[in-house]
Formats: sequence, structure tokens, C-alpha cells
Amino acid sequence: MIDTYKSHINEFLFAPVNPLYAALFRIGLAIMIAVVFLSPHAKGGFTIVYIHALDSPYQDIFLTKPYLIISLLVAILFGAGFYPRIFGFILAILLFPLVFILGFHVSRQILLFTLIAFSLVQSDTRLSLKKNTSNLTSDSGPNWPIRLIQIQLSVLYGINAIAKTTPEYLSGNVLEGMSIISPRFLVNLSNGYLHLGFLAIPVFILATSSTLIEYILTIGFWFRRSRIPTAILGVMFHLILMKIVKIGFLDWAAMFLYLAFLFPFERPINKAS
Amino acid sequence: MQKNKTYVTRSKYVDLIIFTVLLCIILTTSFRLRVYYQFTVAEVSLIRINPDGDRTIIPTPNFIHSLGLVSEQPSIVWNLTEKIINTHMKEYLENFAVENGTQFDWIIRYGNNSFDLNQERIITFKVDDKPHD
Repeated sequence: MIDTYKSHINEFLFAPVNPLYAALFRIGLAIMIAVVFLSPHAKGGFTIVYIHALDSPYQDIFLTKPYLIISLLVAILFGAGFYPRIFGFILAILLFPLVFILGFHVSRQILLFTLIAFSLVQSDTRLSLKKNTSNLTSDSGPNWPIRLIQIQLSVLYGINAIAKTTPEYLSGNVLEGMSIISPRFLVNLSNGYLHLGFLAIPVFILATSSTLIEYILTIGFWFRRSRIPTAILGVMFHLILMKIVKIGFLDWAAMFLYLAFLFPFERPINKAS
Repeated sequence: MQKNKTYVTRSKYVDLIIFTVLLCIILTTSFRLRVYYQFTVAEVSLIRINPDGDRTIIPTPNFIHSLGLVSEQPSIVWNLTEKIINTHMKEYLENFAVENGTQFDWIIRYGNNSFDLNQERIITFKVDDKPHD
């Protein structure tokens, strides 16, 4: 029984990663990072840093155009497959300070971690500027960095679902109050209903169903049969959420990470090429 | 013949250690991934204590009422609240004559992610003294 257990763990963590899908994910990740980390600061503007004592380094270094341009160049090299492991880690170091800017930290934290984990994958044997000169039929290394990205996504939904599982939130009171005060809310729920055309949805149903959906998104991706329905549910959830509250790039970052489950990273190489 | 690189570090056990470390980082930093419902509900009252000990409840200014439900964790709300109150008190003391020894207590009752205001914090201002908690 222990041998069976070890075999399952081995398969779960060390199955080889298909290089084509690794390359595709790499390209998508580079684009997401450029959009989430760099585009909000491209035009300058006021930002708030979590640690106020560090305002000066941010204004003098991390949010300056040269720094952002260098980061973009490194992101391009990473996305193009030019020594992606090395440039992936360099990019992670460059982007680390940008995680601590108020209003952006959630999407950036998950993408930064994804970058760190994915930099452990050898993703330059396909679709890359400088192809790895190893045997082109070889894989991209073990699956466990991808597993970390998958776990990250589940943790994102799980922690939010757990934190919302309080009587105050599930009753709808929190959503009602925040829709009045928080500028991020795009609808007014103060009368206890969300009005969608002729429909009037009680806020407690909105609160309860959103929490339930997040629990489903936490677990549903881990089973082959429920993976695609879960992804569809997740996309619908986020598209509707965008009409109710602004959470910046988090919607897109989360949906991007669905690819960590949807791409067949474990597909044998001779079937994909 | 297909060549498999089944380890990142050429050692399964080092790979497992790195995996475990990164997994622990994910789990321990997961609290930062919570979104907009992370809120602080606060109720603010203001008491003026005269040098003779006489206590008077003073209506709080309108801007304080908007702190009633804030979509941030308490630590961020505190930074914001203290700054606002400090600024307000400074302006008040500059514009109104207040007897030396008068004390203003800003009593903030709050709940973290709950409407149950079961926690309290007091910011005290004493005339001719620097503000302190």
C-alpha cells in the first residue's frame, strides 16, 4: 500500500511536462505579467505603497520608466524563450517590489508566484528564440512546478471562500454595506436586491452563491471530469463579477491560471508533436 | 529515444524539499489573497474631558461616518484613521481656544470582518501634549 501511495505521489509530482504546452504557457505568462505588472504604471500617476517608509525607493527606482522598461525587456526575453529559467528568475526579482502596491497585490502575488514556479520548468525546447540544444523530443522537466501553480489557484479561491463563510457575509449585509461605501462597487445593493433587467436577486442569494461557486472553483479543477465545467463556471463567475465590483486584474489573472489545469501538460510528447 | 528530465535539480529529494518550501510559502501567504470583503466596521465616538474631570460627548465630524464600513484590514484602517484624526485635531486646536489640560478621547469600537464591534481602541489628545494612543 505504501508503494502504491509512493507511486501516486511520484506520478503526481514527477510526471514529465509536455514541452509544447510549457512553451505556450510561458508565452501567455509573459503577456499577463506585462499587462498586470507594467501597464498600470506606464502612464505614471499616484500609487500607494503598503509600507509608507518605502515611498521614496518606489518613486525613485521601482516606478521609474527605466526600471519598468528593463522589466518589460526581461519579460519579453522570458516570453520569447531566451534562457527562460534565468530571465524568469531575474524578472521575478525585478517585479517583487511591485507586489506591495496597494490595489494590485493579489493579482500580482499569484502571478509572481506562478513566474517563480514556472521558472523551474525548462520551457525553451519549443517556440523559443533560443532553442535548448537538448534532444527536441525530451520533456520540460517534472510536473511539480505546475502543481504549485495549480495549488496556488485553488488556494486563491479557497481562502476567499473560507473568509466569506461568515453569517454577516452570507446574509448579504456586508455586500449591501460595501456597495454603498466602496467605490469599487458598480451596483447599489442597499435595497437588498441586485437588479438584472426584470430580475431582482436578493443579496443574500448573491452572497451565498458566490461563496459556493468559490468553493467549487477550489475543488472542481482537480477532477478530470469536472475540470471543463468548472472552468466554464469560473469564466462566467468572473465575467458577472466584473459587472458588480472592480477587482482590477485579478479576474484575468485567475482565469489565466485555469490554463495550468486545462493544458494537457502530462500529455506524452509523441502524441503532441 | 526520448530523454526525460524528471527532476529540476537532478535529485528527487532536493526537488521535494524545494516543492515543500514553495508550498509552505503559498500557504503562509494565502491570507494576502483575500479580496474586497476583508473589511473593518468601525464606530467612532468622541469624548471631551475638561481639566476638572467633567466628561462631555461631542458629535463626531461627518467625515468620520464614512469609516463606518471600510473594505480594508484593520491595520490599514488604523493608519488612515489616525492620520485623519490627527489632522482634524490639529486644525481644531489651532482654530478654537481650549483650556490647558483638556483631553479628547477618540473611542473607536470596531470589528474585524464582522459587524460585532467587540474591539476598542482609544486615541487620546491632551492640550499642550502630543497625541498618543
